[in-house]
Amino acid sequence: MTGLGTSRTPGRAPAPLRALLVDDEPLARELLRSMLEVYADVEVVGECGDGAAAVRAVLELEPDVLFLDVQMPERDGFEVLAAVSERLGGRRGAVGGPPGLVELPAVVFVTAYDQFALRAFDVHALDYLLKPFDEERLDRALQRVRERARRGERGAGTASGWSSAWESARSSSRCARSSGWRRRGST
Amino acid sequence: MWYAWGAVTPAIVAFTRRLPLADRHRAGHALAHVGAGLAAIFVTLLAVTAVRSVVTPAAQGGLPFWTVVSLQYRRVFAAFLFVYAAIVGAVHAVSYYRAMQARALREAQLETMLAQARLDVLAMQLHPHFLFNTLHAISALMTKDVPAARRMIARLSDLLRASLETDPGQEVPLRDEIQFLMQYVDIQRTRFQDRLTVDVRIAPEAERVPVPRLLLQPLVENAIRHGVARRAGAERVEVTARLAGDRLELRVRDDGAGLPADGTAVREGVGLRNTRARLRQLYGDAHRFALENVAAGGAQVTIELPAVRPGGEANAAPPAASAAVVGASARPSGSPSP
Repeated sequence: MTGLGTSRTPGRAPAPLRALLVDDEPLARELLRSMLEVYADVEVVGECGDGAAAVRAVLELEPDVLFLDVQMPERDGFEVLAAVSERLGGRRGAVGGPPGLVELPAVVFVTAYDQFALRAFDVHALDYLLKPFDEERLDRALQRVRERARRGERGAGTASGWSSAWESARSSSRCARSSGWRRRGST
Repeated sequence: MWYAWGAVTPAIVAFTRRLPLADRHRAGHALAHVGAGLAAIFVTLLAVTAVRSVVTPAAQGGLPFWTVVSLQYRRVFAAFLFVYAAIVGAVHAVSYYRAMQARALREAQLETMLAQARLDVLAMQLHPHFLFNTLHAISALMTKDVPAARRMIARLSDLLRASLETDPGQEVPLRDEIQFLMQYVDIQRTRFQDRLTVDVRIAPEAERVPVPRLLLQPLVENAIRHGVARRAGAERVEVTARLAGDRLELRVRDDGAGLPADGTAVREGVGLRNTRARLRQLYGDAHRFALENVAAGGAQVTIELPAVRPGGEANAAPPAASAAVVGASARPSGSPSP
């Protein structure tokens, strides 16, 4: 199982996909984190338990992929995306817009029930995981994320010029950061 | 001479509708009907005699008008009185029939609502988000805490079983309903961990009072959905039950965001709507259901039901002997109740 992800991109050593996990249930975050551990090319950079914290964390950590629960306190998954797009909107277009400093991450919705599937399609979610899911299904989702990254749809944005708004947001962020987190472009 | 009644009948019908003999003013209305009845008979007789004296004067035998009236009066009074009473009776019969039809319609509507509630209770128990999130939590637990995973599976199975045998009209002792509620709470606390506290306080004398099955679980689910599931941070749900005279008072309180203060209609979920429908069907006007904000923050649902012992006797002022019975039955289930 280990190395399953990297084995599909032989001969290349791309930067790992930086993943942010957003779910209001601690067990669900734990599970996803442990399932992602086997992938050498995926690095979990943070976890959030509610929508408001997720907005701050996306802006701050700029993950490549966002595993986003739909039903959450404060802001649901769709509101998180809307808020992130809005705050990025002044600097660049949202998904599909002109390239700017920062792109929205690839979004993989994770939900217990598929009543939101059509809306997820509307906001250009890359995939839609239904709980409970198994390793095989998660692997398919990650392949899509990698393909998108290879096609370069994920802009090589930098984190330069984050305004003070994010700075203040960062200090109150409720997200747990992974120990090795770093801002994009700092390496 | 009966054609004259055709003329006064509409007036009598209208009069009877205005002053029915079946409401709380019936004594006054009855008096009015005696007066009106005599007047109607007199007017009818007068009209008939007047018409006859013009149309067939020979039939009057040359007698003076008022003599004819008084002779006729004696002859037909009883019959006319009967006719008047018959008209009044017919009006009442028709309005009773209409009221009965309306009641039957209302009952049919309630029956439909109850049937819908029955389906919804099932659907709610198998609330897809709850079900799949719980399965996902089990998936997370099974590699790190096998006993906890097994406990979740057992609790979930209990809930599914209970939802399959649901008859919303069925009553169970409050103690059993609380036990069922705790299975649900156990799952939710495993899912939300330290974010959810559920505090249940039941007065011992209330434990045996029968309540509708699955009464509390939807209310607690509602509190959780509008509290812990909407808001980051910890939430506390409080369930209390006590006896107040011959009433059972149940309360589910959360410390969440509360109801919208702008006076817009409260959006009630399936759970609350069902609970209201079931209580209306089971208790009619004998219950109270209130959903309101608490001054300290959050919302609370208060339900008052008539507290009836399993034997059917009201709980008010229990005799010493049955008080001892209540004390004995406060032990965990399994002890045979007398």
